[in-house]
Amino acid sequence: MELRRKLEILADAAKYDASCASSGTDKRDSRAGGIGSTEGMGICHAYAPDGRCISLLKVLLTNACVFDCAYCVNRAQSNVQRARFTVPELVGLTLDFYRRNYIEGLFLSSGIIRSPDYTMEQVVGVARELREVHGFRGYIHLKTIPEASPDLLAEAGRYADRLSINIEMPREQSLKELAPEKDFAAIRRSMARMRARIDEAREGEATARRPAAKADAPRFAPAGQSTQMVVGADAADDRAVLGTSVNLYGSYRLKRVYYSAYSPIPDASSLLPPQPPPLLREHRLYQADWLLRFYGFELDEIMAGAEGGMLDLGVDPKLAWALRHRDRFPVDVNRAPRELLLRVPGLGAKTVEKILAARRHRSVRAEDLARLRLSLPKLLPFLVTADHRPRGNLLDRPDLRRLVAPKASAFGALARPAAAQLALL
Amino acid sequence: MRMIGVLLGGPADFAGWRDQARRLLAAEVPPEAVEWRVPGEAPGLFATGAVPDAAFAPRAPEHLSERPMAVENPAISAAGTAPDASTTRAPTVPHAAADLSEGRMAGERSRGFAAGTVPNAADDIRLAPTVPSAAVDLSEPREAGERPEDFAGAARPAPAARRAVEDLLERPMAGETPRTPAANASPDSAAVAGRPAPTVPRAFVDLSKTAIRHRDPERFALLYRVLWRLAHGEPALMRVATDPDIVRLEAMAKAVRRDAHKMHAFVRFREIGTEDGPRFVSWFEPEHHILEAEAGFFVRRFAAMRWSILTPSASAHWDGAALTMGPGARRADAPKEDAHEDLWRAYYASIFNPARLKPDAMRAEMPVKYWRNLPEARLIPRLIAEAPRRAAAMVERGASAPALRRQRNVHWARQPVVASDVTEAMPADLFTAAVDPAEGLAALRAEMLALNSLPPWTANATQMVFGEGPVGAPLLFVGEQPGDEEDIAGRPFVGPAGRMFNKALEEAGIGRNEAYVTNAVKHFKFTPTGRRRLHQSPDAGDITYYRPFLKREIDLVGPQLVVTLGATALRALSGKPLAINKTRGEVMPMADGPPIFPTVHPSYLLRLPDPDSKAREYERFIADLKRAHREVA
Repeated sequence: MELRRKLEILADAAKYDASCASSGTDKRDSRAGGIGSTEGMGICHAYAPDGRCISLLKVLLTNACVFDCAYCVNRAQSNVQRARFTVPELVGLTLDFYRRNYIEGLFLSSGIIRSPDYTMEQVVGVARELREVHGFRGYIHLKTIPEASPDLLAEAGRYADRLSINIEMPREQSLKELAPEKDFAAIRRSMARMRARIDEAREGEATARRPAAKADAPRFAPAGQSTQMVVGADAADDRAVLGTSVNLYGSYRLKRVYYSAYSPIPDASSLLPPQPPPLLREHRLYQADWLLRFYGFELDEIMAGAEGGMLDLGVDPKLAWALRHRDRFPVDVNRAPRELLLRVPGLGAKTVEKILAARRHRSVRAEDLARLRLSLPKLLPFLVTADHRPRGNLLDRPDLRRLVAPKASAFGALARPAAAQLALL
Repeated sequence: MRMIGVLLGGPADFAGWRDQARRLLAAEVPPEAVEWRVPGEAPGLFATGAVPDAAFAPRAPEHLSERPMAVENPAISAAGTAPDASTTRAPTVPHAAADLSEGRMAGERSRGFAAGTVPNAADDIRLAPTVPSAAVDLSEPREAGERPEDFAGAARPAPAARRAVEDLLERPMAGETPRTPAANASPDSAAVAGRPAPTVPRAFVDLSKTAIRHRDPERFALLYRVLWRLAHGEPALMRVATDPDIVRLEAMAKAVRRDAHKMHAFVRFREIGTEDGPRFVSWFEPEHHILEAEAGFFVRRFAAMRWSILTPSASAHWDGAALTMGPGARRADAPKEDAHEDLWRAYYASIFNPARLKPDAMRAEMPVKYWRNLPEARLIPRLIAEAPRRAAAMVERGASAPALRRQRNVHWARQPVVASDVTEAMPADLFTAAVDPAEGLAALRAEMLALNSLPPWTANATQMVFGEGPVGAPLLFVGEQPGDEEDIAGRPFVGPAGRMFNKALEEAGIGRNEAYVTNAVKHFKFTPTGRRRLHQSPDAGDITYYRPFLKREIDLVGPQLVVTLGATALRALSGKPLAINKTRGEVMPMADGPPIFPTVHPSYLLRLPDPDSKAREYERFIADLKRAHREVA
């Protein structure tokens, strides 16, 4: 098969993995040899019309697979055309793309062929050749296989910047039904093993006093591990999805949990729901995920009052919380502690830091907030500034939601299922 | 008021600006009396439309423009677009034919960097000589965390400062022909000597180095104005993110950083053959004066390659050892295509998911202005146009029949299925009686792994943590439950409490290898909060649930004495909520098993806040362990 055709098949097969991050790994460059660099910040070299960043060459080694996961386009019983890269083909493609500055590196995953160890050995082989033979210093993200041997995992961690293993479903029961060969508990044990090794590598680096000793610490996935959950392919509600995320973040120190709204695939399984969930659901989950990790919200706070365990599609979860807790507002922008400012809809974490620094020298007025490019109509009902106080009954008005909620926009179209959205075009 | 004209050496000449600014400052020349110029750029004066907000200016200059202050300078809108390009663009440099095989452009002045001192965004600026701290007068207390940066060059007897100020101000930079406008005035040089040395926060220097690359012709004046204010009673200005000048400076720096980031992302190299081998050439159109500063990024990334980046106002060339800056080029100077662009476009088209069309999100991050230099962008209209049909077709087609030839499961052995329902109802002694203890322990572990009657909270734990140690160990230690690290490792007593326990065992003369250690409850019970898992004590129900399994485990190991660590273990073995301080250190005979010996849990020692009681309790704990050891000796 021609290389171009293989690339089409194996990129098409890989696109349902949302992650394309290339940030947060150790800093290195090619001045002492080899090719490539990583400087901490991820770089998106292109964006596809689906709005997703293209940072890495994201492909499968092969889309042949003995697993029969209903949500997956590559499942054993699917009719898709199968292809397989050879190791030299994939290494060459990565380097050719990298030299032309198309990509930051490689994100390699694979269907399971023959056995977990055989598959993992193939995946690790590509990374090994890139690093050892070509001195590749760019970013490598490898998908790991839960049942693969510890030696292969250690080797994968030595070459990769990030490792990931997808939890796939928010609930163990759903995974059992949709992916009969996958084992929820084994996936989690695998995440635990990765966390233990990542911790060990970090500790080794931290305790090594002499710079020379630093190199002795066992390198293991310096950019950490991440996972992905398909949303909308099973009946799990947002509370269940976020509950699983909270547990995974706390237990395995994941860098990210990616949510992937189940989207129609060619050659779908009959076990799947006929209609995809609205893309906006995925967006709301990401917003809630951010509130949990960076804004000091607890899951119960975000989900309190949520109908049917689902986040409100109409307004973002922070605004939804504020509308349910009007007694906590208005907050005085010149006096309130950080935790309270972080709860004001429309104030981001960076803005809060700026306000905290600025107010030590000057009192903050409404025009100052405008200068920080904040939306005053959205903010002012919840804030007291040096020259503003919300009118007496504003916070008690039943139509406050209408006043502060974003007007129906292009983004509103995302609230509808994809099919309806497409019919409008 | 006399105006002073300053001519800088280049559009992003921070070192030149800094030298001049410190002299102007020392001579007490106010911002409104300075006109900054760069060859080929229109002058930037505050009087031309961006007068600082009078409300925030402590000393409003007398000749302030009457025009009202615009909160945001239209010159730096959200997208960072600079004013009308025709006024700010560098004048057309006579185009020089690029001799790419030579690795440098024929033409104007070029500067070389050795391979080891490649510039990057942070260190490409020639830093002024450092000043001994004694020369620095801090008229205002510094803010914590801000390292003051010296701007006092003119005030100390350094050779540079001895030269007359007016001379320096009029002297052109970098060998340019003197073209200084309005250079008829000079400040009183006597003022230089008397002025105390001002210092500025590090944050100002960092921000200035970036902001000075902005295309806005007023950047130098804005920087000097902020410097002036920092030195005149507003030392904390950099922290006032809401100040109009700071807002504007931040916006400029942000636009420059974004431009640099987009350059890292959207430069596309095309390979050409030359006599010396392949060279990678790119045509790129940055918005600001970033090429020289960002060339270092490409050197670090592609050090072994030979490459050129051509832009309208300058070009950068790397020959594998040295970087050369050359004049601007034309789009036509770059190669037209590259053999790999077809493959790249094939990848771009295939990674796109037509069922998730979000073209606005794409345009926000990859603005249309970059598209003409991106080989993949020509596919975008077609991909967008075809997406609805492709997605609708997938939905319509619906589920498909399984493939006739399923992917073969050649070497894949399924995990054996354990029928847990059968074992649950069976009497416990069926497994423990007349069985080799090691096998019995393995069977017990397997049985527990397959349990489907576990308390629901155990679903949050990673795995069951079973006991470990030699069969027949004289001492068996029972803790409470696995913690975070035990849950991750799948082994008991490996976390902070486990490490303290090991240390205490050693001091008591007991080898960890000789002892069997386990927990009353075999899963980690916790409350997930943000980034950590908060330990939650098992309740009476949990203890009762695990109790039969613990008893069987103890029976199989067959110790002479069971040491219970903490209240949970004591309760699990005695069946009663007993107080540890009334029972510890004494052997308690049991009716249905080996005697028990209660003491505290090592995590209790970790929790004690004051070092004295910690040391005392630790000694007591070791005394207990020694006592237990003597009981079985």
